[in-house]
Amino acid sequence: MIEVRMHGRGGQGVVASAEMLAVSAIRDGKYAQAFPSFGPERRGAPVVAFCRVDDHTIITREPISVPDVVVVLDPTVLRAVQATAGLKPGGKLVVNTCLRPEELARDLGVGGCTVATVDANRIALQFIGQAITNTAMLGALLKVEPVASLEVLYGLLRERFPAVADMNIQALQAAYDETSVAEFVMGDIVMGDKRKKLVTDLPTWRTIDHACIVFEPGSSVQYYTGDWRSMRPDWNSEKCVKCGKCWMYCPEAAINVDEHRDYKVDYDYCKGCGICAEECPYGVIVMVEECE
Amino acid sequence: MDMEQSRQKRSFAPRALPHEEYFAPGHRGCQGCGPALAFRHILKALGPNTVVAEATGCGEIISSPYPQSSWRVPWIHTAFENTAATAAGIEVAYKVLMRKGRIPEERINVVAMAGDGGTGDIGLQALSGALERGHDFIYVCYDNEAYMNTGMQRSGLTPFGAFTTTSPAGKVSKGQSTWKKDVPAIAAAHHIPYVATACISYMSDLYRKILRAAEARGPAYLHVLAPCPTGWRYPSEKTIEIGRMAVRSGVFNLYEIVDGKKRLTVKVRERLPVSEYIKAQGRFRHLTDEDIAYIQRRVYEEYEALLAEAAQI
Amino acid sequence: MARIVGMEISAACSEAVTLADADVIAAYPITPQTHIVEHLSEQVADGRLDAEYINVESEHSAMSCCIGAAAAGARTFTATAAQGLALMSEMLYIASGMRLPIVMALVTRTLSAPLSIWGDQSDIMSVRDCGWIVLFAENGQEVYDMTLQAFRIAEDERVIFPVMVCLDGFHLSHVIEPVEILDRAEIAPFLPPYKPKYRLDPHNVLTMGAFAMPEYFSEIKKRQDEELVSSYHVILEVWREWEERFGRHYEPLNPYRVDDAEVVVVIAGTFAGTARVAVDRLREKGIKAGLASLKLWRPFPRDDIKRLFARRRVLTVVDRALSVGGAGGPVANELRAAFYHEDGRPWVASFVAGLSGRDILAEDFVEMVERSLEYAKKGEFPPYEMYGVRE
Repeated sequence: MIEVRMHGRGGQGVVASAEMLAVSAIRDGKYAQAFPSFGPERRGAPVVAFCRVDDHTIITREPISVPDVVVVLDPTVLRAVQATAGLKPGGKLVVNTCLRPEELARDLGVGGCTVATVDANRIALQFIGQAITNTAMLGALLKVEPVASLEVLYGLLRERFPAVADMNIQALQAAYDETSVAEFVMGDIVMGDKRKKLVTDLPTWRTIDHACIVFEPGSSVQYYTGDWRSMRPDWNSEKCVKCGKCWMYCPEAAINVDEHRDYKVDYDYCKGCGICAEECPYGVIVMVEECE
Repeated sequence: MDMEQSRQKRSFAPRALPHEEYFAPGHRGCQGCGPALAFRHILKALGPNTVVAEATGCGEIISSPYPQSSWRVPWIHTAFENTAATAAGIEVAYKVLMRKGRIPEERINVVAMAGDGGTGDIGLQALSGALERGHDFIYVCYDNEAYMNTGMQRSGLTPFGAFTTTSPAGKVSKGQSTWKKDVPAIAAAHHIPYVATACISYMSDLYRKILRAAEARGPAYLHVLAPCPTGWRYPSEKTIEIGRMAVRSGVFNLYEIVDGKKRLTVKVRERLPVSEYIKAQGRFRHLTDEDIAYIQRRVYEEYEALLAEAAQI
Repeated sequence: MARIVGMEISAACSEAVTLADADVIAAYPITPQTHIVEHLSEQVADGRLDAEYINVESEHSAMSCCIGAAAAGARTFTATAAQGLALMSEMLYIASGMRLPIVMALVTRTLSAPLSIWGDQSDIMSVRDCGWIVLFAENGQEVYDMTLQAFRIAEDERVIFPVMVCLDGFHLSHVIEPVEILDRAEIAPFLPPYKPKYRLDPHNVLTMGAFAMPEYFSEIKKRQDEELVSSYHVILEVWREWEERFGRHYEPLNPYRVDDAEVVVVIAGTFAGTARVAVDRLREKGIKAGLASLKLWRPFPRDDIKRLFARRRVLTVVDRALSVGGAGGPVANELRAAFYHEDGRPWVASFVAGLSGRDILAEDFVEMVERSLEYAKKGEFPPYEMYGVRE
């Protein structure tokens, strides 16, 4: 059995990818499962989806906690989640990034597994015109773990999305061809903890709050939605006339004003929606790629 | 500047708005969430002596994942269809407890908040009951025109022609087949002191209306159009622009009804063709020119009727 | 000073709410609850009770208003029956989960269809798992006493749960009886003004009704369950204090001639009175019969049940509710389950009777006991029997 975990952001087609992978495998005569992980987070938030493929009937309903393959659709997700958590020793990490596998492995400090990388953003922009990377990343995945055949997947894409199938197939094929793979025998699958607070001390029934009451007003500030961002607002303060529209229209209250009436983005919470840049009458703010 | 100064000056320019934030960052709303922006400013306008009862829906789920909360005013969620009733219970409790001397006498804004479904569909009965009984509270409908919390299913307030997951455009369907339910008119039919429509893209208009709603003695109903990039299918940075286009095209009109008298608060000099609003959103992508012409005609008629009605007074 | 007054039991319930100085009442009229809310409306209209009475537009809103009012710190009361309870059932679970000390009089009535306004206990049994403390009254005095006790139990900081007082529709609600009425000076030390531990207060900001992800939900429900179960001790404490102050005794299973009984009738609600008459007749016939009147349904008085019923030969359990397609009367089944692992457990004969206001006479109880003994002799019991139904 091959177990795959996919990381991306809400709205990037992570769940659809897992589903297409499973349906393709089933059409190939295999047995497969795909399932999402549900939470309150919305478009832009890190999300995961899962896929299992086997030659035999799969009866387990357990979550996938020790995956054979981890696929990361959006490089900025690596800041927010521990993508390698639970990856099987000798497992495969497939990431959308402009870095080479060696560079990524060094950056993440991972070893003892196979690392595959592909610049799916560039490929998606080239063939689809938008940075929608889910189909490209399926190509990368199939390169390192052929759980389904390309032909079947192409057929499925043509059937499901006739209008955009061709461009997606081109992106998928390009990603398949361009994916670089390297195996790292030495080291352990670990990843530096990037501020992500691991919840280890969950309350017991004796210590949990009465009636689920939240006693700390505004305690959501403990949750850093800056991790959701794939584009960031960049400020050219010299042009700013301090009109305050960016501040007013920010749905996150993530723009602060200091004593000099200078407006500053709080990148801990900015989700990168781009409203401030769009609404700024003086072109002070521009949105730039987060990973650049 | 605090709200009192802004209120006295009746100035709601961005720099004049209160800096206190009562809807904290870290909420789980989508990038470019219109309702989150509405909550942020409604609370700024009302200030800390405010209690919010909120219906199940986007606003509730993005703001209250135990053990965290985005709310810096007292806030309660109980269920989906009963927000007006929950708020009514809070309002009478304060009234009687103050009368009996159990809590200090003070003005507390009791606010009920619900989405379009929680207001105009499943919550309509409780809303009507609370308006009819005359509770001194503010009801805010944040209208994002479908059940976005559960993944974009149609409500009675989804506009004609819009694609949703339960009003899909198909071989024999053009998406939503019904016209948007006029909930502000239903609220006004209860002869309450204050009814208004507002949009997050017209912030000073919104502030003025929240303050008027708070000043009203008795029920006030505020219907706030809050565009949703996820459900309406437009890029997240366009939230304010889309709201602006809804108003400029006459699709969503900004007015208030004070003691039964209707007044347009934002008059559009040059109206934008409805097609520009429609073509900016993926949810209308399937509509033909003919469909858009139909919508344009009806929007025009409704706007003219509104002008005539408002002019009579 | 306490005085005995002949009055309708619904009015006695309302008098108790007035004496409790409730702050908010939100209710929607439904037969046979109407006399309670009409009487309360009058009390408020006459200024005898300084409360806000909200004429809500449905029972769902009644409970929602109560939840809002209780969350804001008010002592809160409502009353309903049957369809009304079914309509508000969503909010019953929420009132308990949010731990709000609301008190409700449930004038028990059957559930439609077919529509029937008459009494049985189908309504309360349909919400067995809603997380409320549930008391059953047997007579007018108990309705009055339990309504006052309910506020005290609900608001106790070791409890903070909503409490339901069940009184049988018509057979209790519409009957005129002597009831001993207390005055404010007498009740004040027993029931001081409500001081909420948590409330919606702009000067002490709380978030109520947050949603819980799976990693928290089970712990929250476990805490709710543990605390509902342990409210048992507070209920007993309150009942002991009531007896000390007012001389009337309450216990979870009120026994009658049980000490040497071979067969014990178990029933909740007002027909326990008639069952007492039947027990006396059975004794005259030489049958060692007894009775247990179930006063506390939630938390389920497991230990009292085991103590009182261990080593009895037969229990004749009379349920005024039918579990359609199920395995027997609701009370009978819970008793069976309580004894499943016990040695020397009694036989449990389950009878469903008194549906939709149909009377249960003393002779019916006699018949049910005799039938139970016959089953025991044969060693064979039907899962349940619908008593008195025309074949």
